[in-house]
Formats: sequence, C-alpha cells, structure tokens
Amino acid sequence: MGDSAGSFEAFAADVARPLFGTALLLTGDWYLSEDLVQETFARIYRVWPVTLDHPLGYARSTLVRTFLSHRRRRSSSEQPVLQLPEQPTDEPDAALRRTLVAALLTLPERDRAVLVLRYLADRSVAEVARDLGKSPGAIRISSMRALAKLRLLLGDNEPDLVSGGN
Amino acid sequence: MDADRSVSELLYRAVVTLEPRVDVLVSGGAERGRRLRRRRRIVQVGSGLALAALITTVTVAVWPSAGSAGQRGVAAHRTSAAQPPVKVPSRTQQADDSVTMTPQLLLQRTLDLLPRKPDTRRYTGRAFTGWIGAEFIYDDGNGAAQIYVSMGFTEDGLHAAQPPCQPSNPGCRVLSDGSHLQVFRGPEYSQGHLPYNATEWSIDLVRADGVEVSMSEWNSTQEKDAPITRAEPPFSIAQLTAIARSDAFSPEVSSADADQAANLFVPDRTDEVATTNSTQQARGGARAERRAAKAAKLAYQNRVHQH
Repeated sequence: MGDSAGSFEAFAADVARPLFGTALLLTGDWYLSEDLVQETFARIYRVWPVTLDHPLGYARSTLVRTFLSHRRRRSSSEQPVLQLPEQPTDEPDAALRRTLVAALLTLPERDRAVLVLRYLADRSVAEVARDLGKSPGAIRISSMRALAKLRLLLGDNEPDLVSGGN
Repeated sequence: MDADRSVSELLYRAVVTLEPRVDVLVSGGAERGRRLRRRRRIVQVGSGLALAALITTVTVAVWPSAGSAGQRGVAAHRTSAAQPPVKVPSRTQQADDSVTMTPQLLLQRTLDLLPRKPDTRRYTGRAFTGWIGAEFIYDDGNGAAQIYVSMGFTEDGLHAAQPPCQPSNPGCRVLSDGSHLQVFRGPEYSQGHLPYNATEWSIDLVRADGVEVSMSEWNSTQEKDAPITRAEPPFSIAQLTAIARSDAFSPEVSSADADQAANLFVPDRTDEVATTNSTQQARGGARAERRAAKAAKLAYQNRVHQH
C-alpha cells in the first residue's frame, strides 16, 4: 500500500488510537500502554518503509508480539495491576473498561493476546497463528480457554455490559 | 446477539472512547526507532570488525605450522598429502552444512507431497524462532483453495509449545506411532457473522519426535473476506494427515535444499522475521566461530604432533 510506505508519521498517527486501545486491554496500565505503543512504533520505524495491505493489522500484530516479548523478559512473579488514570465522570464506558480490563488481567498473557487479536482486531485463527508463531490448533485452544474464563468472570454482568446497562 | 459478537463489542466499546496523546506516541516511537537503527548499524560494524579479527587470529594460528619446509614435510608425512594440514572431519562438515528448515523449503516439500499437481500460486510465508509457516493457493479446477502449513520445533528438535492435545479432547487421538492428532472441521467463524464464512479443515500433528506439523485448508482463497470457491476444501483429513506425517518435514535440512527453494518467495518482512534473520546471522557467525576454533585447534595439534 503506497500510503503506508510513505510517511512514517502519517502511518503512526493513523493507527495510534486503536493501537493504544489494544495496548490498554493487554497491559491494563495507561503508562505501560504508552510505552508499548512507542516500542511498537520504534520496531516498525527500524524497518521502515514497509509496504502494507493492512497497516493497522500489521501494527497490532507487532504490538502484540512486542507485548509478549516484554512479558517474557520480565520477572514471572510480577503480577499485573490495574492502573488507569483518572477518567472523566461522564465517560459512559469507564465502568465497562474497568470491569473488562480487570477480567482480562487474570488471564495468562498469551491467552489475553489471542483474545484481543481474535475479538478486538477480528483476526482469523490462521492470522493469529501467523502473528504469534503458533499452530492454529494452539490458538483455538487458547481462544476457547480465554473466552470461557472471561465469561465466567463477567458472569451475569455480560448482557448489561454489552447493552451499556440500559 | 451471538456470543462472538458480544465479546467483540465489549472489547471495542471499552477502548473506542480513549483519548491517548497521539503526538507523544508518534514522536516518542520515531525517536526510539532512530536509536534502534543507530544501534543496529553499530552492531553491524562491530560484527564485521570481530570477524576480521577472528580471521586474522586463525590465519596466524594456522600459518606457522606450514612455515618451514622441514615442518611441511613432517606434516605431509603424518597427514594426508592430498589434504591441507587443517581439515574439518567430514561428519562435522556435514553437520555444519545443515540449516534450520526455511518457510520456502517447507512450501516446496509440501508441494512435492501433494497427491495431485495442479496449478499452485501466491506463495508466502514467515519465520519465527522455532516456528515457520507457508501458504499457497491450490487450484485443481474445482475451485481455488488456500492451503496453510506450519512447523513448530526448538533448536534441539523438541517442540516447546503447549503439550499435545489430550485424547479426551474432542477431535484428538493418539496414532499408532505415538503422534497426537487434533482435527478441526468447521466454519472459520462459528457464528457466521461475516458475509463469506469459509469452511476450514485443519489438523495439528505433534509427532513422536516432538515436531509439530499443522495443515489447514479452506474452500476459499482466504480464510475470511473472500467468496466461497468450492463446496469443501480440496483434501480429506486423511490426506492432510498423511502429508503431515512425512519425514520431509524435518527441523534440520541441508543448506543446498534450502538454497534451492529460497527463490520461491521472500518471507514476510516483520519484526519477528527481522529478529529471526538476525538470529540466523548470529547462528551463522557462531558457526563460523566454531569452524575457526576447530581449525585453530587442529592447527595447534598438528604443530604439537610435529614437535
């Protein structure tokens, strides 16, 4: 795609917002998410210019791989903590975000990554397998396990959360 | 609302109203990227200098053994006259000529194993450390289909990912050779919320030697967002399994075979591929170092033997 192979800054500005949202679901921490997005941009910048059919898909895949490699380098005893900055009180989905992020943080990193790629980025099983360097079977197992646990954690709140409590 | 869509909507709604500092993200990412580029250049220059130093060291170590005519005569007497004084044993040489399976060779070997040889095209693939994948379009005249093959292994040949499926799982069974086979048949998206919901048939085989081979096929040229081209994917589960069980899928292959297949396609350029290439370069460097160290050791032994 010619556009994405043009200006790095234009590409990054286009994908920064959805990328940050993905990062927040993975890390649960506003500042870690900023760090993760910047690290992702740095990796892409290093190999720029790249020709892309799906700039956001590419950026998301890179972000998730960066997240997983960061997690591998950290202490395995480190526990994720929900850290969000102050939210405006009139922000309608703040409660949903807190509930969902808290539930996601209880999942293993790889399962969380699979869930976010599958259901937020709408990547297929084969695409996630390609993104993460795993077999489609392993991705299916991760996805089913993560989904079941998420449903268990959200419990009866899920329909309310989906409808926005209306 | 179906289950898949409700989770998708939850995730989307949770982040869609976020207002991150886009300018900070972009400028910070670009600055870090520039630093990464500089670091990479320094490493490349450093690696070149280190290799030059290594070559110099080996040359100095080897050269004195052939320095005088008398010594050369003794050496020729005690070693094969047809060979230079330093020679890596053939078995080691063979081992040094092997490389890790590449996505291109994985594709080539898959094509070689297909029961029929119709039109194939759109070759792509990628490599991670310990995992490679390749895919192509297969067209036997009854509708083009995407085929995907991947291999998982670690450097010592043992698969390090999740344990194989358990026989109690639906679709999982243990074969007579000890392999674990997981079979999947179904639509790409269980709830069918896409305009084209392709059917996928897939197997994951974790062989008794620890190598995982996966194959997937669709009745479409893509797993999603492309029209259905045929009633079912082209190969039966038994055919996929037979292909996956082939000895052709070995983690270590000859460099000649890998070189021959290298022109099939260029693996996707991703961070992980770049990392893998760097890793392979590092492995290549390490291999060169091992060779040089062996050469120096043999040169030293020759000199000791001569005295």
